[in-house]
Amino acid sequence: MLWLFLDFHQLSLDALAPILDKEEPRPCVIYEAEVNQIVQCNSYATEAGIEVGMGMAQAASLCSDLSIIDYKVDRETSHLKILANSLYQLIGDIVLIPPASLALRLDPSIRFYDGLRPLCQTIMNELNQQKVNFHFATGWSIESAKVLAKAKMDRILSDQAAIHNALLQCHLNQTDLTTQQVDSLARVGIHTLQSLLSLPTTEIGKRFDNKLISYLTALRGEVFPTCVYFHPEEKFAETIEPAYEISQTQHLLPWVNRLLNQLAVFLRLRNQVTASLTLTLFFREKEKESLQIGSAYPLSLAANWLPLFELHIEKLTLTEPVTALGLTANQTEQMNGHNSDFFYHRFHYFAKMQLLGKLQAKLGSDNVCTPTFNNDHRLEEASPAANFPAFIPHWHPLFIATTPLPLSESSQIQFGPVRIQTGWWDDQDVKRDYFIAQTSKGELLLVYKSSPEQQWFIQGWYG
Amino acid sequence: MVNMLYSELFCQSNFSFLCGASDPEELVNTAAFLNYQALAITDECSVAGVVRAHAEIKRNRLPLKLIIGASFTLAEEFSFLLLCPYKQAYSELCRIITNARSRSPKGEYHLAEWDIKSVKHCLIIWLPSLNRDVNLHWGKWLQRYHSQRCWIGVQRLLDGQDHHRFTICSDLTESFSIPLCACTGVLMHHPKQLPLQHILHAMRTGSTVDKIGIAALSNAERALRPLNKLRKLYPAQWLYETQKISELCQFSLEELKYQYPKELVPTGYTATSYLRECVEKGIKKRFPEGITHEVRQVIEKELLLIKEQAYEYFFLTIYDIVQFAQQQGILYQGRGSAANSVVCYCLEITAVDPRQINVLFERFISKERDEPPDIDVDFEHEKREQIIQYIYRKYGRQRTALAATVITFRFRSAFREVGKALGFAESQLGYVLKNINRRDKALPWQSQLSACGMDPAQVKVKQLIALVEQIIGLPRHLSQHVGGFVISDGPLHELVPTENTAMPDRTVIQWDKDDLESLALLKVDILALGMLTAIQKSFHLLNKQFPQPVSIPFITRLGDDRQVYDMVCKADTVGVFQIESRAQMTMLPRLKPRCYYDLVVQIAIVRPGPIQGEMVHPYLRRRHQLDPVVYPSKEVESVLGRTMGVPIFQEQVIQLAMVAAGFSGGEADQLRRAMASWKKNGRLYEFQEKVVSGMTQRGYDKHYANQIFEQIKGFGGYGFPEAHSASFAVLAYVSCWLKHYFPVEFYVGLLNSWPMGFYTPSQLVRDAQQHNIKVLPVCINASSIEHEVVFVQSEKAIRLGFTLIKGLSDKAKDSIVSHRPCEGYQSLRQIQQLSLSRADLTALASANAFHQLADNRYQTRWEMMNQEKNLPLFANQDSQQSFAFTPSSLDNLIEDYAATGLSIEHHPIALLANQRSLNKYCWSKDLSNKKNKSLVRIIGCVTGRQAPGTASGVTFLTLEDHFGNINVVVWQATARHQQQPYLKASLLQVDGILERSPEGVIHVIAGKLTDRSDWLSAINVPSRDFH
Repeated sequence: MLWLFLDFHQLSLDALAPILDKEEPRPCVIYEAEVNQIVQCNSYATEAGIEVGMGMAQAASLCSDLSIIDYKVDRETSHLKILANSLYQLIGDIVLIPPASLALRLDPSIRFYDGLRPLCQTIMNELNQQKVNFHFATGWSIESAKVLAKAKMDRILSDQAAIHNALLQCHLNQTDLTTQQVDSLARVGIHTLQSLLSLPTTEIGKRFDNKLISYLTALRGEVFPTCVYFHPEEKFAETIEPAYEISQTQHLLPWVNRLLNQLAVFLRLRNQVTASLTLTLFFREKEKESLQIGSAYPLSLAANWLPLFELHIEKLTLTEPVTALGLTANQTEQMNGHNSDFFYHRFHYFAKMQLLGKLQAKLGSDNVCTPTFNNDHRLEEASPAANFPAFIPHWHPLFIATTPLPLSESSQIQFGPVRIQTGWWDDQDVKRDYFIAQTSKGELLLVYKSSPEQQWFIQGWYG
Repeated sequence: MVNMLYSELFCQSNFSFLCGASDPEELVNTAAFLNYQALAITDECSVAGVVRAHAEIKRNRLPLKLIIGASFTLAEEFSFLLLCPYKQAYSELCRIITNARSRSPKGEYHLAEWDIKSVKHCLIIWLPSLNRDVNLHWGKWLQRYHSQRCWIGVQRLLDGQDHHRFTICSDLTESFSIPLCACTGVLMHHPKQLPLQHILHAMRTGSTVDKIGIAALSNAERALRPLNKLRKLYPAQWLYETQKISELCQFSLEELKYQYPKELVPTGYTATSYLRECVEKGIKKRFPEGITHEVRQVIEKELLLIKEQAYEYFFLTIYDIVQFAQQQGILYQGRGSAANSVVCYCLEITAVDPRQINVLFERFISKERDEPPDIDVDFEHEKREQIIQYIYRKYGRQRTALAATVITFRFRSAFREVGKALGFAESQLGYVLKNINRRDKALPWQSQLSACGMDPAQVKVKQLIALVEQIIGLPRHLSQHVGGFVISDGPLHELVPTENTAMPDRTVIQWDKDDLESLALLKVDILALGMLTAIQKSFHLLNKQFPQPVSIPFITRLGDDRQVYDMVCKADTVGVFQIESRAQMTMLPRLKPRCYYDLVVQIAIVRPGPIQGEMVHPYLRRRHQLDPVVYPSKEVESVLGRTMGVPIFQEQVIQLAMVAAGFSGGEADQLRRAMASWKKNGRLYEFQEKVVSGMTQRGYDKHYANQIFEQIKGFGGYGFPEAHSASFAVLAYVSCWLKHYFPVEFYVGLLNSWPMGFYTPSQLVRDAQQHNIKVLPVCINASSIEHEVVFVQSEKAIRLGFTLIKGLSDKAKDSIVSHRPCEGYQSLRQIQQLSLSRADLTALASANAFHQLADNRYQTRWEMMNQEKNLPLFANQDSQQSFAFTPSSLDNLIEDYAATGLSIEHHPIALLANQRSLNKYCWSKDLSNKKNKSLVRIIGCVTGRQAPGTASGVTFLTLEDHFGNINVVVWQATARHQQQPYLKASLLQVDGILERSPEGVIHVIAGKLTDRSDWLSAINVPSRDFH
């Protein structure tokens, strides 16, 4: 058996590269807050003296212009799947080792590629296209290849003796032993695999648990591996977590594009198309929001889908920054399918959309609204409540003018004043006394007097 | 219109934590300014803010009555206020708060219906809800139980609910015949506090200001509002009713009188006669040879003063506690304004011999200043809990509680929490906080924000800056004082409410030490001091050897010892009390203390106060007769005579204000308090004009007057009183005396008391070795649990104890010592049979404690890791031969540090010197032979990095080589340019210039820093970073 182990040691940075590269080059690190450690750093950060394993205080003191991105396992795992999907076109025996490693069993595929070297070269070419950094090594088991990859071997060895010699040089830190076990062995002067393997297994067994013994056996390649091979998903559902929260809709598009490209690869491999996608936006605190995007006919290419998404996204208002985006293909069909009834089930949706579209065309899109509840003392602020609030101030009118209108007819004050003095935080501060006034026609209005013009304005109407 | 009278009955200060946005002082000042008749401070289930309001009214002589009260909510539906018309009502309120607080964890309260049912004295202002059914229930309930002392409080807040509320309240008054009164529910002294209130609201709910939505205050009406506005908002009758209620409330905090526990005085005695008897008893003990006429006069004068001020019980309380400590053999030392009196010496509260130091008691308890006496008692840190338990046992938990400490927002917490409430990302705030250098005096934090990626022109950043500045100093929650006990005669909760602390079985009162002082209530400070433990342990060791018991009075009675002071002048003070820090050690050869009082000065001078007030150099120049000692007047000479005309102690600047600027006793006391809290409120500036004009009027020149004020400012917040310094100096001297005459006992005492002090065991052991003391390693057959004094060829030596071994359990230590055969353990198997855990056995092996039985610690540990050896079946199997790893010297060094934190045989630098040529380096011992200003190259392990706030931008590094320590000075620019080696190196090479002061103090001013950590990357020498 011959395994290739790929260790993507800065997968988070690589995953975020499309965005980071657009910014000014600056030191950037991936930081795992739970253990207070820098886990990945780009070349600028390394130049500034920052090293993997450092705490935040030291890193921050070494470099004042440091860009810090939180480490997220999910982000790495989902990017790892993308890599696995792309390699799946080349080789079938892939083992996913989340969050950032892949093991590829090479021996069954060698004959298809006319030798080990061409096979490895093809794999490397594909990974280079994916623009990821990685260390690699080969071994007779996943475990042995992993140790060598962690030791940054970066060479393809197929000779058993050469692999054996290389393994012996490795430090125990590079193995899967727990920190506690490595420490414990260091305290008796055992630092390398050579030292450890020189001891009789029975003696090690008297001092350590069975897990360690099984690991050493696996390392020697003395057991048949029990691993689950990777199979591409049946259904397309991917999520991306950008490094930064996105608060402007146009910044969503590059990420959507990336998801659509993944979808295109997925569909192409399966010779499929889809006519309905769901884009899900995740927020830090608010519930996620989903957008259904349909096409009149099934599509697969990102270029075809993107204009449809652009249209939907430009209508969006983000009340809160987006933390992640998900794309799901609701239904896929074979490229050559004759699906004439594809409007079925979606009739109501389209009917509604058609009606809205007609209304908007006739009245102007600003004049077509849906009722929402406003969770702000300022009436003109559109900040819908996440949950229906415990109480609604009874003086709130049913219709609110976002741009108040001048009051032109005589009216009588019936109620008030209600003083609103708030909003200092977003530069939209108001200080107003509201009154409920009744016109001679009996219409009830919410009015206020502006200062310094001393002009009365209508803010709302009571139904 | 006739003058309208109004009293605000519902007002919450910022002691209603994260709700009220103004402090009690601001509230009473504004209320008085607006011509309110009275203001009730009604914090939620708390009276924590009332003393500050009371003191402010008194200080500014405000024409405002303070009503004491509190607000409560029962079961989230019944809200009301309790106000105190007279003292019994106040006790009742305290009892209710105490009960409600005692049912809940720290910071919360749980009221029971019974609590309110039992109200007999307090006035009740009911704040009806908007729920009709709930109101009907509580209306009936109040009518039934409290119809005579109940009002309905009506709030008009312009929030759209006013009409609704008015209707509800009018209906209720009709149904239940409960009269109506106006109230606001003040949360702010001024509408401008609204943003701060919103921020506090967001913090309380863990939200951000833009998300609180309609739950937030909709306007600033919950501020103190002008009377003419109130007149428009409320019917006159409701306003008038507030005045009626206010007139009923006649209780003032002035009425609170502290009652000492009576049981301290035996029957047949008065407090005065008993105190005298105790003093007379003490005289015989302290002055066996009899006392002089002068001392007798001082004692009489002090007793008279104590009697006049009625402080007998205070002295007797402390006397009782120290008596207990004596019986238990616990070492202690009193300090503070009254502690250094002859009476305290006779009562054995302190060991400061009044003949040795001419500290007059009267200077400390001043009748004129009417300030309470201050005595803190330090106890051995390992035994303080015994004292605390004694106090609880003797007086009972009902009568004893700790004083509170008000935890306020500091810069870091303010920045983080305000930032969060404004919606900044936590990681951004964390990053900025890590990058802001608060010590950079040239660049305040506000200006550093842009370098950290926050644009100061942005509105949100501006708001952040403004709100952080506003919130710093605002109370956040109550915590417990380190050791300030309040003990009373009756139940304490009649005097002040108590509440639970985070520590089980401890209760804390709702007032802090300033509040207690404002009300002239006394607290007894029971503090812990590690050095007392160390000294006591050294004494025990000495007393085993000599018939003459050694004690603190024994040493002080011997008088100033020249040889001890010679050692002090050489700064050979590692491990001694107070004068051991790097800054102190640099000052010692310059100040050259030669007597006890010099030590008192030495301890007080190396403090931010004198350093920032620029008093150090003038004092040193005068001391060495480089400058003349001159006094602008006789009065000033009387104050500054003992410190050569330079104010060093806090008491001196206060006395100066009295004698030179004409401050009255009361004013001087205010000055003292302003100094103590000036970082918090900046009240000190109020005194500038008075000091300067007072002094110029009395003929001092303006420059001198300004200089004095600058010095007063320098002391602000950092003042160190002579009274404390005097007591510390005793311990400093005693520890120096021990170090000089009985160094082995001294180090053993110190090591056995660790953790304490400034140095690690590794540094202490190295210091001992440099004093030619032999240090023996931990040994399975020779060591005890603790470190010991042993004799090696009739020379005293230190034998390290098992306590040094990291991870060794107490049970294992006991077991090894108690089962040790007379001839010692002969084999590893014997030890394995003690059934110690594997962790214990391996810890012993790695510490090389088995070196007598096996010489390879690696192999021994490997043996001890074998679990099968514990099974009887395998017990007799021979150890296998396959293990063939032997530690090198470097491995041994690493293991020494890993297992015990120190190495007595090896030093990293010595090992390095064996491995590679280090001829180019100058060792610490050779620096004294180098010329001043010469270039040197040094290398050492970085054992300390200190960036003191008083030295702008300088970091002091301590490098350790195998001969000793080297002091390195790194300027900010050097550090900035060579950040990587400066911050990262554990083994550092420094190329720099040697600088030697005239007194012989050597520093190396760093030029080039080179990180050599890779030479010894495996060695982890502990460094103490940035204290």
